[in-house]
Amino acid sequence: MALADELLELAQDIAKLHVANPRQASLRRAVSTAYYAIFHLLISEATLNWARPELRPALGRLFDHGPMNTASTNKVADLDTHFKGDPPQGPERNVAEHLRRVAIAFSQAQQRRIDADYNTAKEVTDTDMIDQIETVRDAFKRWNLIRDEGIAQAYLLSMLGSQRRQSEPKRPKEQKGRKKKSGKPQPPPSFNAIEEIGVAAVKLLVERAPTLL
Amino acid sequence: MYLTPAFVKRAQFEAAVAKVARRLGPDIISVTPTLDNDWQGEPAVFFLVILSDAASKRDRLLNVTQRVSDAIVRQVQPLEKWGVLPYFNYTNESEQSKINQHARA
Repeated sequence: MALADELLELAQDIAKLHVANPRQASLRRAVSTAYYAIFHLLISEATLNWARPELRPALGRLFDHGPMNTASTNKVADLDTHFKGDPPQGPERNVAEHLRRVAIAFSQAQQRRIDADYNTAKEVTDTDMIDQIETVRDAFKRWNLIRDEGIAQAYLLSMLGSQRRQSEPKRPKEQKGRKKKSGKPQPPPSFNAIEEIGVAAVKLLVERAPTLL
Repeated sequence: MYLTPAFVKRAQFEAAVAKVARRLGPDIISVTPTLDNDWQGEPAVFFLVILSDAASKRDRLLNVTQRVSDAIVRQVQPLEKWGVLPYFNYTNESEQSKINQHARA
């Protein structure tokens, strides 16, 4: 069993430890472990693209919580904007919806994990813990449906290092150059040029990895 | 220092949340927003959502929490309109009652 799956199973086992009288320690460990399940799922999926298996753990160490969170909140903002244009029903929309759920799950789970591990002023409830586990479990299922899609692979790549969030209200100075919305539906953010280039770059790296090392 | 609209117009922000919360149905007892920064220092809003005990049963929970968070994100637009990243925490009536008892004791 993969580490990510083991961690999710462990979170569920911890959740069952003191059902009648939940203890903060168990609730907090379950919340934290569920986060690490999705953290390792996404890293392992990203590193699978690397052709040399023995170097995948080293590549995985390049991923960090902060940039992964920024990439996730950016992706959610992108997709929320996309859905406002009411894109047509179909496979592309379904993929985008699954990815949105995965990105939300990651971001929410990470903040909960921080609170569970460090913020003793905030009591973790059984309901919160169950929601954390169920949200991560749901993200695992959705990820399995979309893992080979370009938009999903681009999301993984963006987790290596994302810049500013995209949908915050612009500060006054920045509003001058703001683009006007055209009114017609925009293409899905999944296929924007930067991500296409990113995917192509990873493919190139993977193809050339044996000669580079 | 730049303050996001949610911090500057806190009362309006809370009113916008309350307006949406009222329409979420009987399973949602209350929605309380708290403005703060997330662990990365980004302006954020932490919604504490109290659910009915029935809505927090394991087989219903995910469905309910996704519906609540979607409704709030789409109608309040915390990030786009108010400049704060939304995070959600859930509890139910029984748990909240115990928490309140501990706080009083």
